[in-house]
Amino acid sequence: MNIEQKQQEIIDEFAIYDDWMEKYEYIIELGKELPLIDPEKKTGDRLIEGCQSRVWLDASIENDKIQLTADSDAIITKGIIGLLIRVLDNEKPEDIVKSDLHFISDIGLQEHLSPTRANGLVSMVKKIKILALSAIPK
Amino acid sequence: MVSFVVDGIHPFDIGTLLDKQGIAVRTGHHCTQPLMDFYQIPGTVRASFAFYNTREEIDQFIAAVEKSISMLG
Repeated sequence: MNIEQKQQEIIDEFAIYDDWMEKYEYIIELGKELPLIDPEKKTGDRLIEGCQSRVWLDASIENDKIQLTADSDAIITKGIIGLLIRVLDNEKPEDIVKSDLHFISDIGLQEHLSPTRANGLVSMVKKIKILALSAIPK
Repeated sequence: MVSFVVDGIHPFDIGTLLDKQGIAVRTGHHCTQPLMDFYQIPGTVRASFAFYNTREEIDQFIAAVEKSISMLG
């Protein structure tokens, strides 16, 4: 599946739920499937700035594709970064950089987060794209 | 005012779920970072009650906190 297909899969999954308590229940479940960062890599340089809770993100390259792992001390944040990783993990850096992550607004996530948490989401996307950009061969 | 923490659950998670249940609270360090550092916690959930709050609303708040904990625990 490519980035767009993965986004559509998430949009279809969220469409099943009627209210935001059910959607958050689903986000919490997704957080449990987050590919976890190596605890030794939970260092200051891997913290995402602009998040209310602590979020660590790590990226590495394998077979020309970006591998993403993360963790957070807040469960809902784990779910949110889990959604981003589900879409962007194991993709080429060029595809990540030019991706339009419309699923975030399509599932209503951006408008339902508090302003500070929405800022954190923007920071997560920015960090992943910057890491991908730095991985593009010159 | 009641400022509280729940073991093993981040205050922002509780605040988010309370919000979706129609309960407005503050979460975070409430401009008391040295105090949060002293207790080594990321923040608290803070409920402010006023003269217009009813007993029913307090019961609703407690039920919402319990539901949030069950979802996050």
